[in-house]
Amino acid sequence: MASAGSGDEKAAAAAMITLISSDNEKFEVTEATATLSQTIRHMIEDGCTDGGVPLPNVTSKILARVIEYCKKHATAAAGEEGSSSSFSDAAFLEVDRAFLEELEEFDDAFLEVDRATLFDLILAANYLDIKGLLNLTCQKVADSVKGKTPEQIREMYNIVNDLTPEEEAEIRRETQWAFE
Amino acid sequence: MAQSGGEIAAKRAKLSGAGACADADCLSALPDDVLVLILLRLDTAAAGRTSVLSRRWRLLWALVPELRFPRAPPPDLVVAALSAHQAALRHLLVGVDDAGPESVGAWLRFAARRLSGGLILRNRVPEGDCSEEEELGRGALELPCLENATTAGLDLGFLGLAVPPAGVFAQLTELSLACVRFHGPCELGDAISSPRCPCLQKLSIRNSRGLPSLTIHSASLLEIHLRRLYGLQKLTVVAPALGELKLIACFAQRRPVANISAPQLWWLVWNDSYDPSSVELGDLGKLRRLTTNSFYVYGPHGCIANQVFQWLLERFQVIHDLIIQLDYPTHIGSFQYLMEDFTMLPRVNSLALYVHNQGHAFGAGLFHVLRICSDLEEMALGLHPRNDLEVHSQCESGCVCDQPSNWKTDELTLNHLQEVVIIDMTGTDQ
Repeated sequence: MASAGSGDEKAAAAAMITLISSDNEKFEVTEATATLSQTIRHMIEDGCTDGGVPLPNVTSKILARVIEYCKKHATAAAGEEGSSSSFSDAAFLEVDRAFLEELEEFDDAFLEVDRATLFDLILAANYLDIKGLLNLTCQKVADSVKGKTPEQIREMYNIVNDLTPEEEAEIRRETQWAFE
Repeated sequence: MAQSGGEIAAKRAKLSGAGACADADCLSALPDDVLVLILLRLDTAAAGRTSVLSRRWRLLWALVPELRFPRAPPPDLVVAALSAHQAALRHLLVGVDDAGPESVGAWLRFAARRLSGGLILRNRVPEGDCSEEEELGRGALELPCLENATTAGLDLGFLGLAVPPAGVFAQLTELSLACVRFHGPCELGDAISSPRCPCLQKLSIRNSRGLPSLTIHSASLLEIHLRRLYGLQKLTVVAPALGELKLIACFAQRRPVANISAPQLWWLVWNDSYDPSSVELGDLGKLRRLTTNSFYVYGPHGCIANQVFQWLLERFQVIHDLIIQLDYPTHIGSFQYLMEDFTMLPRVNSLALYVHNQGHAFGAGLFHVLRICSDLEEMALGLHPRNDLEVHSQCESGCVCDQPSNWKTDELTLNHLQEVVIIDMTGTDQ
């Protein structure tokens, strides 16, 4: 599916970009992979990628994971563009469904990381402006606090309660609608 | 945004170097906009409860641009939440249970001033235990003018609705009203026509009462969908940009009076009463697709519904895509076979024929239709989705449905047919 397209698109897909992590490791990726990051996309559009793109906020360990995510999802994006939207084309729908399932499995497995890595991925996704990865990782955090009381959330994430009991009582009054 | 994320990322890089997060509060260290993205994924009450976590969290919930109260607290508390909320409100969802017009009106007036995006209001009522008189006694919700809202979907559980007599819904592009009992004095049509709704593109009204006459003059509307407007007697639509008009079971058995002027219309669904002497459809030169009422294969002689079906089709010489349905009764009993009343179709390129056969043999009916439109280039044949609910329903033994049998031996020639799609049938379906 990714091979469908004009000669120009193929040339663009083959163009390589070098990403440089905070600890100076270099990663060669295709432009299609790199441009899942809006931050990098804008750099490419502005022509500031010669000699590599330094990413001083992202370690090599995290950048490797981010690239793994982008590679998988860049293939998915190419698949979507190339696929037919005709309802009669059942074979295509079958392929798409299988691919989407595979992508979901990939995302689930991708999120099997320790908490420190998860937060680093969130910060990298935010800095690089990779919408899909940011949504995915924020959802994981949101799911982790769903159905929890404030006390449980504090304990889970080591949040120090710096409110006086009076302040806390006042906030509870102000946000009574949330505690109904 | 990227900068603040970056600063903290740099801090975090040190932390993770030390294998941290085990005892540090990395969650609170995330930038505001990321925490807002996380809170956005919780329902609003859960987001609001994070206000007591610590000082850092006190007002974060108020920066979330969407508020969702699927089970809303009492109206004064909704107002309290709306007053404390700080971000531009791009989405507000409120679900209430059997609420009265005053309690909904209390926060809706307040929300209308703040809302700059979509509004969804759902009033859930227990099914069918409220008479029309009781409904009338419950008064009407006065809809405030939603000056900055872009979309609004109100499902009112048959609360009365009084539309505002003045004010411009300046940004509104989509309006969807369900289970509404319209209440004067202002006419809905005045409020949603171009002078007061200059951007409205999609209008949907369903399962509603109290609208004997609806007159819409709109330069912006692209889609109108009207379904089950109980008591509608007169419909006037003047909409030069309108592309889709769907009218379903509004006039029901009454004589329809309608005047439609929509020269750009490309899809008309007229699944409703039709009378050529009282319905004026104007210039439909751009019409490409038509969806009609069902044709009843069996019924009493002179079946009015089938007459209506023929009248509507006689209005057109050519229809590129025609979507029709053949309907069968559960028990044929003493009903007559009515396919002989199916006498004409416009010139059709592409026919989609749905069969709601209730287990009966439908070969003869299908054959009859295909005989009439022998110029056909494409056809799709499908069982009506409702059939699936009746697990392999079979008609009773001795049923007369397979009596018209000449179709099995007669010849049928479709010289122009290029493509046939058959959906969800088995080889034995006939």
